[in-house]
Amino acid sequence: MIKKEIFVTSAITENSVWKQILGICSALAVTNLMLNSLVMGLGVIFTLALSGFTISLLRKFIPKRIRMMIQTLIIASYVIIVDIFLKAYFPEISKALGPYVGLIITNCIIMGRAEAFAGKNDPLDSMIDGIGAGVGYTMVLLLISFFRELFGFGTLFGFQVLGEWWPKWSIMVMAPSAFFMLALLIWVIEGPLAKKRVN
Amino acid sequence: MELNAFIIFIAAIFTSNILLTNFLGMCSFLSVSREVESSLGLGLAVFFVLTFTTAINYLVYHFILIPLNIIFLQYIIFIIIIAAFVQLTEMVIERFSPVLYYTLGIFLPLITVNCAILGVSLFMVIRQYDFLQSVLFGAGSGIGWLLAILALAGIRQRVRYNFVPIGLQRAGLSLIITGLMALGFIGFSGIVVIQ
Amino acid sequence: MEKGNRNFSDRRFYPVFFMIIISIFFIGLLATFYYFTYEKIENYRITNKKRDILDLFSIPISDLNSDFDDYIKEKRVNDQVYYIATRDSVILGYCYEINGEGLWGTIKALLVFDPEFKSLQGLEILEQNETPGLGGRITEKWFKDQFKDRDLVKNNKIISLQLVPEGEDNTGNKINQITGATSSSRAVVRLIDKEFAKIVQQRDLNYD
Repeated sequence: MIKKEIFVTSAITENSVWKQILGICSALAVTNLMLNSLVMGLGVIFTLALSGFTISLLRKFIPKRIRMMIQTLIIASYVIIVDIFLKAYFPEISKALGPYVGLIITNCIIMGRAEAFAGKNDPLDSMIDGIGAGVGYTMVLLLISFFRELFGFGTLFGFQVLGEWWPKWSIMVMAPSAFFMLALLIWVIEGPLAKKRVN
Repeated sequence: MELNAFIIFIAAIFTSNILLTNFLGMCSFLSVSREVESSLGLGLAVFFVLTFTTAINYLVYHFILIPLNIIFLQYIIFIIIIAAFVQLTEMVIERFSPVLYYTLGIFLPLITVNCAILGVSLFMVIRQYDFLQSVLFGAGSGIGWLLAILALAGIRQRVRYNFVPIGLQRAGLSLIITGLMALGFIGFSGIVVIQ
Repeated sequence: MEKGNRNFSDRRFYPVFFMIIISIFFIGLLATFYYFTYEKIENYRITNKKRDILDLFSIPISDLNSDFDDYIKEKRVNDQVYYIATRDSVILGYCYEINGEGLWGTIKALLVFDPEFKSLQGLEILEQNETPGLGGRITEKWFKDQFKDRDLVKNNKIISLQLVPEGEDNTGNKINQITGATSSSRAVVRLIDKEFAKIVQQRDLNYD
């Protein structure tokens, strides 16, 4: 498969969030602010790239029975190494990422890509697939958090956009709104696509 | 923690439901809840894994990680234990119910990365529960998750023959239903405070 | 070269062997990273704490370490660490290092009391893992400033702090909570009440 195709497939056509319905936990937690979505997204892209590459490298040696444990170990190690690295050299960013470390380790997307792609394809392709999936995930998160932050706080990336006159929608600040926004997103995207399929 | 272990158990099921209040464990929840039977199967598997891994993680944390002063390995050790246990559960299900095994498909191994399971172990550490409280917290969270997924499966079964716009079918509708359930559960907050 | 009928990877013990090798490699990698950066992270933490303590007492900083040594003395009672700030032989106040349970993790904070332990003079959050953008806002200046100059004792009775919604009057013993983050706000207040009760008991202060 050519590289560009892999990227587009994992980022858009088979998007992890609205097509495969993976990575929802984090999508609910971090989409309250755009900055949080960006930080989480970057963490996930990084982990997806590295773990995809490593797992693909080892795929011929990993025994079937302990596949899950090995993959989990590799993914968790990378996430924690990134966390320690940030704590030492970029403490401010680490403070932003800190609460999410656990969420990245258990992010279904990372395990999902490892199972579905990295286990069967070569390292470079797997890394591109991982980056694609991560980028697709980040895009969705940024889109949802755009609305949640705008309506809930009146800001975008921390910058005040709507003035004091805006009555901040508390519900956008609470987690259930992410459910509704994601559903809306799926509706908007899937609607036309499904109609096309039916025709 | 001074709280009665039984209260923690009840709270974990209803007022601090790991899924509807803390929003952990969503992925498999949304995808498997199409059928009530497979939801029951997955829910029971999650309950089983939650109860035992919380207990095991408690023991490991207090008798290995703390004495050896390697708490920074907490995440990794916990998740490896969870992964190992899920592997065990997978083998048990494959042996005793191949039908369930094939229905659940990839979602059985995905229990490993069910944020609810790691989340419960981490909460147990943060809130400094003792052994009995930890086990009941794990078991209660498992039952809470099971109830939530059964509720969603039941509702989805009911609305199956209603009109749903084509774009909202399956995932979209599930998300809305879950969002409404979550809003409903916010009403429970404050009844018993275990955090 | 002839290979046996069963490859190495088919042997029974191979999964265990593989698991052990990979575990050793990755955990070893992690441990190496951890120990290499441990000191740096510790130093950063301690430097920040010193700076926070000096700021809480409004002591101007020119050289962090020597200023800290000049004005602050560290004391330890059982597991409790606290700091006494003195300037020109007058005690400015006591700073207690506390930690307790937040919503998602432990909250570590510094609490400053006046020399008579009758009021709260300041709060600084050292570590927290609350929801960024919601509970995480306990680190914001407006929230922390609410804990400056709060009477904790009136007519020899202990006053406990009470949370009120954001925007409402926050004088007396009322603290504005963070909208959408009541658990985290509550955790901070609970921490303060618990700590003060402990101090009252430890120092045998005669309050009701």
